[in-house]
Amino acid sequence: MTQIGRSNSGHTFHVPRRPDVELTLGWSAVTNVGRKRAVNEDSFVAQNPVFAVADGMGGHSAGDIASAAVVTRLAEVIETDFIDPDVVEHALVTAAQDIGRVSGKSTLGTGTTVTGAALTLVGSDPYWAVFNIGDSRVYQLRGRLFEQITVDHSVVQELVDAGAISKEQAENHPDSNVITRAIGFNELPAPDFWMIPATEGLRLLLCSDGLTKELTDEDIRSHLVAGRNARDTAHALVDAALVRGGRDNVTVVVIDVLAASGEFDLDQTVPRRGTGRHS
Amino acid sequence: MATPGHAFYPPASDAGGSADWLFFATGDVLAGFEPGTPLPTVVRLWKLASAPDASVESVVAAIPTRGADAVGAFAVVVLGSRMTVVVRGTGSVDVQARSGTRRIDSRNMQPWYLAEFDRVTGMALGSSDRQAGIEAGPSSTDLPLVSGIIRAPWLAWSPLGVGESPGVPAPARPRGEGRSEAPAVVHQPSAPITGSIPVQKLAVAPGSHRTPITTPLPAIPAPISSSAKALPPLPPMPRSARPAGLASAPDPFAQSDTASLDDTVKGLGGKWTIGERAAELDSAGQGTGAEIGDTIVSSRRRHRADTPPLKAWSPSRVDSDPRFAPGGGAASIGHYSFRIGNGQVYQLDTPVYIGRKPSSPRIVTGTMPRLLKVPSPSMEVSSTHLEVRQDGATVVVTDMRSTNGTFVSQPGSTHLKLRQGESVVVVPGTLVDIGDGNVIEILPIR
Repeated sequence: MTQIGRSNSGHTFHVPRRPDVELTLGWSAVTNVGRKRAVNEDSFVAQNPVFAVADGMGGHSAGDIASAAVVTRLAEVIETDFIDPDVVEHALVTAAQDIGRVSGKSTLGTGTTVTGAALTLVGSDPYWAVFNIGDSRVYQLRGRLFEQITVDHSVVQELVDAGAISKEQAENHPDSNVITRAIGFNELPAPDFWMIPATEGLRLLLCSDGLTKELTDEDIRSHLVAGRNARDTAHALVDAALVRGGRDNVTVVVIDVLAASGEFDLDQTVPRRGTGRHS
Repeated sequence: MATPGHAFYPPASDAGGSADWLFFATGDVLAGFEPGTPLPTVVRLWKLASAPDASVESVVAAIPTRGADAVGAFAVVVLGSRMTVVVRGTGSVDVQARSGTRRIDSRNMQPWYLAEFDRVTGMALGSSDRQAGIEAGPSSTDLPLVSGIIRAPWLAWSPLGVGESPGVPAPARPRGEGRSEAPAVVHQPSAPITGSIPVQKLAVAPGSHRTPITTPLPAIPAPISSSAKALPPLPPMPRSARPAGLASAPDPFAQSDTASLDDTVKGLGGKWTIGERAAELDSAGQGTGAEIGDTIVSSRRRHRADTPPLKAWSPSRVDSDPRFAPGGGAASIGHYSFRIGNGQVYQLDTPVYIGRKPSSPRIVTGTMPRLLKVPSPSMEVSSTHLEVRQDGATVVVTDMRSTNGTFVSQPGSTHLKLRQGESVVVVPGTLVDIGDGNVIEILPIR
């Protein structure tokens, strides 16, 4: 387990070339080995502008090395308060090379998932570049909207996509551990990206599957909307996963866009005048 | 013939049945033609559709749409786990799913309108003048049709076998797991085909000799050949060679949660058959204990559920289709461009998302899309309202499930309101109105 950064209750900074826009982020990261595992193979980085959770896998603590490589390489590329997604992707490639070196002799192979959010600029607007490889997840809470942003790279997710099984069945599927993409295993990292505007009030949750194996989406949502700050929310989520069994390492990063001055926008689109909604 | 179920029709509505449409059925293909269609034409198409290598492409491309023998109205349905509907003129198809029934008509698209649906529980085709709706099953006077040509007011299809009681509205796949959410028909983004290759992986390629070119298009290296059969084969599964019983497998291609009749869901081409998935799962499952614990990467072969496994699908290119291969598509013809109002001109070298505060959907290529923010003081524009992208030699505009929809005016064509999530292929000169005075103009390749 490697922890880089931990929490910050209010980090305020300016957006380049936009003196009128000021952004305040608050975040907190919590990890726990769980109640069944001997080793915590999860790692995280929680340091603006890069936040990520990596869930290592591979025997003899090789997974620990893999997840550590990812968060270390991600932390290395942090320079300013914003980062280009290409730089993030490049850091993942470097991490994959690290993992390739240490896992050369392992027959099982060594690898890690990674999921995260990097604060970036689109034009002069702050955006989260959410990225994912594997089955750790990023959720967002925006107003009343709560949703999983990332799509798992897992056999079960593919079955859900194909309609062969329902989301409910997926939760208890025997192959729920089988993922189809990872960093390591001598593959070039291929992250999916999503670009999400960093608007005031947005809350992101990054978590390893130790959380989502124990808690349903509704459980997670209820913790995120409970009105607590990032730190208390992160702790509450991890505690809840432990109470439910804690069968795997649990890692949680909660990030809040506490304030975004100069950016004001309603969340609801209003119906267009003179045109009814199409049925 | 791979798809379980059967077709049926009522007796002719008048003595000679002269007001009725002509229908044929063969295998998975059901088709209807307006009353005046010459019988030899129907017979020829019926034979064509009966051929072992028949596809929706080959059948539709063979229907005359210009000249003296043009068929002004028709409806062609290809059954399967994903049902394809092509309608022209007054042709219409009523599609039934758990969430209800919807009439699919041509929306005055030329030369036809194409749509795809998942998990269809019933279907009827004919003239759009007929009463809308679908019978749950054949009435006592209705006659079954296995293969052949008939005259009738309509032709319907039920997933039940002949003689099975219709009873409750028949679910297409009775072994369904009783999903409580109500996803049902997934309406694939359907591209009206105006003289260029459509977007869908299931590409209907009209023969060039009858393709109305509505706008001069740049020379495309070789995508359009003179006959549909000469086109390179499309990787997606051939409709005529689908394994038997696929349609009765539990909900293949079902979409996750919020699909409704109007929903468009993209990028779930679902090119795997259930058999392949099962095999994949078997191999993946080997060596994985049931205990919650180690996460194991199943396969070196990287794949996504919504792509043919051999290649990753990218939102900016249809690279599973050889006609869009790099070098044969946009790479050699250049990029279309667009502008918002009188603003800056952008090239369509990457997908563009336009809205009040646009987010991007999943990006799998590593090529970042362009996110363009438009002012919307009265909040009519959705946060992510519209996607514009170039696929090969065509420009595709997709409404991103906006609140207020998208209005498309193509030169020389009627105005069209995109349903939420619907896609349309557009030509240069098209104006796309997303509200609050934000009009996107599609510009030619420059």
